[in-house]
Amino acid sequence: MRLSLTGLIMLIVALGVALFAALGAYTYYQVQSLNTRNAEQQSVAAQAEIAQSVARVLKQAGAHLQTVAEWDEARQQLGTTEYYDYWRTERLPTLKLPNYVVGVELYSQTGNALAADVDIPFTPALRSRDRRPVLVRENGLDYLLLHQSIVNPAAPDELLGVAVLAADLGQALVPPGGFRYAALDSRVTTLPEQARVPSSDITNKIRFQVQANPQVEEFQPLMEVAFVNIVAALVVMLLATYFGITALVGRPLRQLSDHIDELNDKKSHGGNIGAPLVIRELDKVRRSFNDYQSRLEVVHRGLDRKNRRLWKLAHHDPLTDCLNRRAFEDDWKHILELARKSPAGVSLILVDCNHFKAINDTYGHNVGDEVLKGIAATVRKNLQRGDRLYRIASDEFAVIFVDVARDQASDIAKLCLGSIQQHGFTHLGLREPVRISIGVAHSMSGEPTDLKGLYRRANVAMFRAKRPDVPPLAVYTPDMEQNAAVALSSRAASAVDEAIAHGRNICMHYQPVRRLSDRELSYYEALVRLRVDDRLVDPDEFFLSVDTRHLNAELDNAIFGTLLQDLERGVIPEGRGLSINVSGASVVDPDFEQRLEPFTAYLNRHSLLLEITETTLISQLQLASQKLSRLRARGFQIALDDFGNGYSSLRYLADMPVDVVKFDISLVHALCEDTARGRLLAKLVGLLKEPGYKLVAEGVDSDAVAAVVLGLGFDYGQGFLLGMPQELEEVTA
Amino acid sequence: MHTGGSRIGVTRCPVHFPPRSDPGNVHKAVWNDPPGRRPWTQEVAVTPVHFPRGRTAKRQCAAFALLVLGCLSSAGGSAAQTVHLKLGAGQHAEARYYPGRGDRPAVMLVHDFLATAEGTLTDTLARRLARDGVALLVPTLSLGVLGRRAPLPCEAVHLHVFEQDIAELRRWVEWLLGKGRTRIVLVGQRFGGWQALALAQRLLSPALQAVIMISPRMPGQARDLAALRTAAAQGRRELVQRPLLSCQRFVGPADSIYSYASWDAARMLDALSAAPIAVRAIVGGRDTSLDAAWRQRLGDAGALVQLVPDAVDFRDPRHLGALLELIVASLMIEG
Repeated sequence: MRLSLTGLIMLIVALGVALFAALGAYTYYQVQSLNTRNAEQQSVAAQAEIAQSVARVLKQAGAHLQTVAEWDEARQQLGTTEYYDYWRTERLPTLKLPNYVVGVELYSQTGNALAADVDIPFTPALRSRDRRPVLVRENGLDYLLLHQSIVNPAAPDELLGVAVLAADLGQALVPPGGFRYAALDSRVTTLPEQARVPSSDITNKIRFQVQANPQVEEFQPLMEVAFVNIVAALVVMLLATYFGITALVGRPLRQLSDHIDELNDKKSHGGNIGAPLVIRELDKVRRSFNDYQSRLEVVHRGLDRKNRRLWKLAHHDPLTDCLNRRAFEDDWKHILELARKSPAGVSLILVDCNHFKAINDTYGHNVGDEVLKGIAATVRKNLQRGDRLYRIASDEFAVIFVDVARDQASDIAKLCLGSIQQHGFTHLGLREPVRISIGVAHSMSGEPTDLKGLYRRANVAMFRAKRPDVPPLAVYTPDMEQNAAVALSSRAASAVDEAIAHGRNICMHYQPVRRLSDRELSYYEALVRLRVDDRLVDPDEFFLSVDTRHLNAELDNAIFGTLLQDLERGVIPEGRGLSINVSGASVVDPDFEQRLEPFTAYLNRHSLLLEITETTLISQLQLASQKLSRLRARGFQIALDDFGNGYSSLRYLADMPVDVVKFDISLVHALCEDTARGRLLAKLVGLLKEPGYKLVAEGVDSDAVAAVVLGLGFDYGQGFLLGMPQELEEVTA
Repeated sequence: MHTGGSRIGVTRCPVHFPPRSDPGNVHKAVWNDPPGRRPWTQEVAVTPVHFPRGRTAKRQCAAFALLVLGCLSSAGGSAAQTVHLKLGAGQHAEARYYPGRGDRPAVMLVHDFLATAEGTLTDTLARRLARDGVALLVPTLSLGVLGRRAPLPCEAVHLHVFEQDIAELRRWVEWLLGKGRTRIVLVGQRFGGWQALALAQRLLSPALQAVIMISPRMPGQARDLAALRTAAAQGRRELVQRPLLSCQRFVGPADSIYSYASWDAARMLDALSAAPIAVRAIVGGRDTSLDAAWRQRLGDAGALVQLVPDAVDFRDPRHLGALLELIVASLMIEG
């Protein structure tokens, strides 16, 4: 869980509030407990206070009554009652008795009151000799009556009379400073009217309430005020803390965070954070961040430059100054998005240089590079600003048009084709014209499924354009799919891959090559076939895949393995030769000689003929000539296949060690015609016979043809007349 | 302790007699012999307040010896005894008795009007005299109150009469006589002095040697004395309030008030003139109720007036010593 700074502060504030609430509740609980204990103590104290007050009253009143009893004038009154009223009204008050004393009366030793009329609660006569204090209730008032004997000072045993003091209990009980804990009820006692209670039971009869503790009473509002003040102070403190932290810490951190967010969102690529901060540490962070940011910006700019350079290196073809295949693939990822915004649709043009490898091999890489640069420059001239030209393979270019109509794209492609055809590459020393094939495909709908197939359709169109009997520019149409299926068959490609990788699916067919003079089998030409699920794959189909994917050398290697196995099994009759087709790519391969090494073991039983396909330009002709010379020296014979159907056939004858020349079927058929071409070719046959080349005629499918070529001097013939290609077992049979 | 001559010390300082040539300090008192007795007139030098230097060594030594004797003699007779006296009708009186030594007259000290033996001056005087070895009886007049121990306030009900007081005092004298005291000097404070004089007149006992009146003030003029006499004669019992002696509001039936109020100045001077024994009057020079005229009249009536010039009523300890000196000197003279 992640918290924002504001959330954290709020959390701290909330925790502070919660903590204070808990402390407040605890304090409140403690205060309540204290109040309860205090109330209990108050009750006990009030009871004790009442008891003390009763004792005090008894003591004080007793002392006062003692004073009266020992007063000379009291004894005087007992001796002579004549002036008792005067004494009671005039003399008794001079004793300054407390206010709670409602009266004092003297009684004779016989218990009779000296006064003629006695007030409540005095009685005319004392019936009891019990002199202990009593509590009486008369007319709704509670009185404390104390009795004191008056004796002769000279003879303490001589009772002269009794002094009785009546005190208002309610008034007497209240101490001078008032009660601290107790509060008397308006009715002081629970006594019934005219009840008399001995002093020992007075305390139990007093009704009182526990007085609220003034300190607690004062304490309570003080606590509340203090609590309110504390709450207010806490609120102020928390707010101050909140705003303080927000202003001093939160805002700078948020500023820092926002700045980082902007950097993360790439809204900003740098810049410093504002004014100095109040908090020293934060300001240090700010300065450090700014320093770091400044350095990071420098690094970033450097990296940006390097990235751009790297991007250019990664997405740019330095040779042709075009975007490369990586850029093409990157852009292709965005084409779906662009297509939605392009009502005119998306068009893809593929431009392929035919036989570029042959050019490269024949004229060297420099010339090949210049050819590519020329093609790229010519195409670029016909593009508008913003159109992107890619080099997606060594000799293949692509142009993507977004929001360009099909016809417009087709027109641009025609312009490009025309420009290339007019460009002319003779200044590079090329003696042959540079042929290009252009395939155009268009996606009108912009649908993803349609777009995904756009490249394939452009490829189909391009392969269509590569065919010799069609114009070099083809705009994709669905009917091209049938032929394209051959080239792009996944079945054929898979079969090729399996053959190359594991040697599987290869099924060698052997076609006999016979001596024309006596029709004697001279040797077999090994023809590769691929079998998938007991069905043979059309050779044109998988060869197209091999050529397209430039897997000639790899396939040759796989065929070598199969041939060795057949030789080992002895399926080729001893004394019969074996002709092995070798592609130009295999010849220049560094391991070519090594791969042929195992065949040397069979040279003593079979004559082994290496047929170099003439239609394939052999790059590094000198290197190839050296290798073939060494193989020839070791016993291999060299045949130039498809003579007359490729590049510079005569040059090959001149520069390479060739033993056998195989005339292409088209030349053989031409020889049979009485035309200038036929006569020229007949002359050529004569020329080739002169240096001693063995001549093989392909396409000998009738006796007439066989007779013609035999008459012209051909040594061997190959064709349906002389033998169909067959599998090994059938051959031996 | 004063060693100079500016004042009389409160302790055992010797009595200093002023030289005869100093008429300002000499007061003449004439004791008129009572009928049948030797008339004698004695000029007594009283204790001065201020003493000039150059007094004779003989007199100083005599006074010093007097006080030393008194001091030595006080050791054995200062313990007080409380004695009670039955007066009849359930009444009784109480007194303090200091046995003292038998070589000098016993003193019966009579307190002031309504006071007790515990009165400040009476008590102090009694203790000091007892300490000097003087046999002393200090009764508290009952004033009709059983076991009275406190001064009876003026506003209290006063049922006692003058004659009862005298009778009570007479009982005490008789008590002393019963104790074998053959020479008695009556010392009375203020109105107690007049009561002592009255007792002397009535008792006529040869044991009574002299009467010493301390501050015998002149009574005020009684109001409605005739009416009181009439009311008393009629036996009217209602309480009456009258100024009497030191009381502004004396409460009692008419007979009680009249019994005291009848002792006016003339009656006092008559009693003094008729005194059967020597009467001395010790007065303070600053006692406003004892002005020079009254002192003169006292002297003229036969009392030997002895003046302590700066004293008021002798409650002041500074003058108590002078009073004691005069009393002791009198006792020695009488003894």
